Amino acid sequence: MEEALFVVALILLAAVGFTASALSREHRRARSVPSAHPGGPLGHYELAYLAGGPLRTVNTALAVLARGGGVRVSRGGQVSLVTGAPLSPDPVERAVLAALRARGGSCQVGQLRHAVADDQAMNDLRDGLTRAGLLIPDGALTRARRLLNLLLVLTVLAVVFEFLTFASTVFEFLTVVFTGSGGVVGMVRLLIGAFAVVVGMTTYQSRKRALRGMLTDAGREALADVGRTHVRGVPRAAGLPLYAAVGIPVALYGLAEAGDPALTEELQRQHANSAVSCASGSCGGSSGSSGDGGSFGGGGDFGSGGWGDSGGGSSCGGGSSCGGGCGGGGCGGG
Amino acid sequence: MAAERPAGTARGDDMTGTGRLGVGIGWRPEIDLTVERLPGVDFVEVVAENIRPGDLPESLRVLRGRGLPVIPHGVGLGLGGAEPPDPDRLTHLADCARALDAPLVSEHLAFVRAGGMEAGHLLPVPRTRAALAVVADNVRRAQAALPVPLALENVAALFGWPDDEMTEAEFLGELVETTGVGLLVDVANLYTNQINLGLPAVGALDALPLSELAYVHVAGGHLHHGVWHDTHTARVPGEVLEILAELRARVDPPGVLLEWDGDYPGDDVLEAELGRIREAMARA
Repeated sequence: MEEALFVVALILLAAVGFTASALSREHRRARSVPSAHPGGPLGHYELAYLAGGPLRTVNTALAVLARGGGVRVSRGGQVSLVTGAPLSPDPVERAVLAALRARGGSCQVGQLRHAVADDQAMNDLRDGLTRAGLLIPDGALTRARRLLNLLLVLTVLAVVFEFLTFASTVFEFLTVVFTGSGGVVGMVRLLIGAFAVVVGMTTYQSRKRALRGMLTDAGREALADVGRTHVRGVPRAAGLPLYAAVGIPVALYGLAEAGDPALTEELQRQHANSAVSCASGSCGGSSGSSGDGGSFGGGGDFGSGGWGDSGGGSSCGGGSSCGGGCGGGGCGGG
Repeated sequence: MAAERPAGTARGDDMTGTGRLGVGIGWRPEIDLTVERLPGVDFVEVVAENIRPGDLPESLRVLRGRGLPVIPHGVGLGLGGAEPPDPDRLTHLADCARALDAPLVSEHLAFVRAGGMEAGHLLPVPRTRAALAVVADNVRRAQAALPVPLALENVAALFGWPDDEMTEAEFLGELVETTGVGLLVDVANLYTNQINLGLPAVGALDALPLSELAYVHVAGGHLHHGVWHDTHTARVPGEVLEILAELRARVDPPGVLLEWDGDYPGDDVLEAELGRIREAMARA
């Protein structure tokens, strides 16, 4: 009986180890898509997508538009169209402006963020990055996720095995201690089972987090390259074009790098109402990270998971009322 | 001129006694950060019905913290109505003035409701002797309830009453003389009345009691099928600035305020509009 249990422990350890190894290999294979990136610098919205997914991309567009006078941000996180502002040639910025127009010209930033994150412009951005070999294609992680689930099952089995055999192992241990006779097979079996549990749990946790990342090795390297030349928190030189002064810093590091603390506060406000832990703007994977989590592996800006939810806003629509009894136009002035 | 002013009316120094205001802009929640950041904003005005005195918008607290005067501007008191002003509305206006530590409050010479029915517009008052007595009584009630001076604004009339005995300027002049109420001259409304009703704006300036001027409103609008719409959503037309310059040639107004209530342009446009107002003031 003892020997049989010993063999079961060995089989569990081997299965966990084999699955963990296969999972790592499979994940590595999925990430190592050959880069088809033609070279040259990535645009700030491409960087934003790599660094933080759709929500980071929207935040980048909001910061660029707000700093450039394309939209107006007011206290409470309300974003409004600016009358007379020039049309933007960029698809992401156009998506922001179109979403505002569709909501009467004004909208809470949280609701706007999610509306634009689901826009076709974002799909096009993702498809382009995938074709360039910077994002892992849809479905490429399916096998890895199956292996992850298998690893979880094996780890749970190992835990159950340890639990069920714990009493007999303790009895065996006490016999050895007090009588000086008996074997230590049970003890070894317990250790083997425990080792299987530890390997299974740690591997599962780290790979589960890593599998949220959508960047290929080439994508992570491209992001890291830019991160080395655009360091977080470094004041931007005066006279830089908006994409360099605002777009790239926000793309890489989030709204805190918008260069306008009041603007940052308001653009984060909606999020702060729903998920305080991300209020610093550091939600989402840290860009340029060489860790397995990769960028936007831990969620884009203001999201949980890769495509998270910062909570829907409300009160979209036209501007404020002018108060009771005031007719259209001429409010206050009669 | 009134020999003795009731409580809450203007005092003698600097026209209405409310001090110099400078050049300002109407504070609206949509442009709160813009207003906070615009250079050269000396004071702001807030629509009183849009705020709660016990829970002022953060932006107004910021502006007050910088020492900027904030004037509550009522749109719903209806001092031109046949009924006395609603005590609750008066209390709200007074509470706004106290919460903002305002130098004055302003309202319109207009009626906005009758028999419990809201007009939804600032309608002109029938300018008769009988109406004057009623309006003067309403104004005195308001003055008694307010902790600071009150200024009344001329409106852009949609029509004129057939039995009017006075022009609006004459009516306001009588009202100022009998109540000591201050004057808020909206030069855009004068322009509107000139275009739509054929009432010369400069003539109105000559007839208004400008010695009691508290401040001035300036705004833009749109001409549509020959009718001027005082929308407060466009740049101030040159003609309105000309009227402002004419006013400036007659009196040095304590303050001039730009009203912009929708279709908000970029910060640079608003800043430029304030510059045009200053330029018009310097032109005279």
